[in-house]
Amino acid sequence: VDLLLMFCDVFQGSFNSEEAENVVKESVLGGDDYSQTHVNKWTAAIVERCLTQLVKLNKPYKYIVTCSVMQKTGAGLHTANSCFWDTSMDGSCTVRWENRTMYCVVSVFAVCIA
Amino acid sequence: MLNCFVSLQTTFIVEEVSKIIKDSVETVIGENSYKHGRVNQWTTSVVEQCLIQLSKLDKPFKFIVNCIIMQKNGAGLQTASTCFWDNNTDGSCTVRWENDTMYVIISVFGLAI
Repeated sequence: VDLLLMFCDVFQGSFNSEEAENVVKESVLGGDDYSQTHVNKWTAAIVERCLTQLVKLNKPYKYIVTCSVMQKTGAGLHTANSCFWDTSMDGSCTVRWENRTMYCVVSVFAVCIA
Repeated sequence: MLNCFVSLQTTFIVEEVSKIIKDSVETVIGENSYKHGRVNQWTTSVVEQCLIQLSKLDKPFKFIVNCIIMQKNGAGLQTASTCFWDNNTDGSCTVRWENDTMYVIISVFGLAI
């Protein structure tokens, strides 16, 4: 029950959505325009910062953070994910962010250890 | 000998997962052209197929399958992922597939229980 409460805290409470959204917004992308030379650096920085913040929570979870950045040119983009895990303990959160020239989708998956 | 066998059963093997992913995409999408109305169904089917085949491997793993389909029109797309897990037993496999009208990127993450 304790672990379940912690899980609820992290995934239904405010941390994941707001914190992840802030990480994307403030530090890395902000008002920048899509740039092919920088996008590699941006995605790496976003996933790294998210992971660092999650690990700091000190919970018995393994984490996977994925980030996709797409230039806005009118192309269609569709993402889906499916998970085979313990539905009572594990969880995920996806944040979709955009500015004038690009879309950014960040997903966090947390899998309980034992 | 027995130790070898045991560790094969409990480690993430990239080759077999890669084959499962490729087969799933070929089966579900194949030569179809990108269609806004169908792409939802394709992403769902691809991840579902992958997951069914992965669970048939009967390994003590939790799996996460992620699929991205993007229409080819010159847009740039960059994806990244990072993981906090056990390096000895956990692993991931990403397959990039394309046909004439779309790019498909599928990632599978396997975490040992």
